Amino acid sequence: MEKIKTNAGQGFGVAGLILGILCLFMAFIPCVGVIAIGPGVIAIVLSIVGLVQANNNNGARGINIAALVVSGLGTLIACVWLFVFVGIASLDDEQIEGVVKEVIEEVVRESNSCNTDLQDELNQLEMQLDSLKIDKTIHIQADSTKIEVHIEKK
Amino acid sequence: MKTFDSYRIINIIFAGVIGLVFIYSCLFLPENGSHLIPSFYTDITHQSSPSLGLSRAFSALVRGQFSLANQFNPYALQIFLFFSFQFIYRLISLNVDRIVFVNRKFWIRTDILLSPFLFLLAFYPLVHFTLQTIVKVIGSIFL
Repeated sequence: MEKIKTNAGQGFGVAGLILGILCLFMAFIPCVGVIAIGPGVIAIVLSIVGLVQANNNNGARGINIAALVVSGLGTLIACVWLFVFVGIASLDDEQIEGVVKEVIEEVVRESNSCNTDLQDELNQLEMQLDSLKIDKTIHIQADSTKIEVHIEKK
Repeated sequence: MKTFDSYRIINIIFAGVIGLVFIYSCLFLPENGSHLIPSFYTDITHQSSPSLGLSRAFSALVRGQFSLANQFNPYALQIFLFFSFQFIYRLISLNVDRIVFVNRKFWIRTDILLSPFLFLLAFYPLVHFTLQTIVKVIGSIFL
């Protein structure tokens, strides 16, 4: 005889899924990634409770499993952020600067192919830097302006 | 019917959350920099990240100041468009049973496939930075 499916655990599953998705979103934002641990842990607890209820009362388990997977992934990334911050605390300033600069340069290089405005600005800036000469006089030449600064020793 | 009820609740909550994000962006002026959410990453590392200035950029975008938003954060526009799309999709999804030519199951399946894809597309620089930073820092500690 086929058992009738109930709504058991569905409320917990929905709450877990919503918190889990929010946790996953936050985990991928470096500025606030670490605080995603809070909603992530709550989401895991809710989805486990929902899953247990669904198992005991023949409820639908799909939404609880989805919630558990999403919140687990989000919490894992948030925990790694925490680990990263702890790791960073053990590095000195030069090492931190090196690691962060390297990563940012790589991200900017890859995203520049999609961001033509930024690439144009960078090219323009590079040209302006090339036109900057320093001897006894500093010459700065832009499209419409020419500036000369004379340096004298007293 | 059971699936749809859950889906409706999820849509209401997400539309509310995204609405709150837009209201938060409207409350603060982009130039002031007095937003309530700090950058924990910058506070700890003293370095910038691809998500730095996102709140200020959102405040500029809700006011239509696109070039200012681009100065605060170059990735803000794509993320803002993702949130705007999600907000509209959530609102339409609330009334999906009233749309005669759309099958509810097909609509939900499309949502499940489309939303993660658009998320990865909009958040790509942040996802990439997150994964790269994790790999680099873990590598510098253990290797």
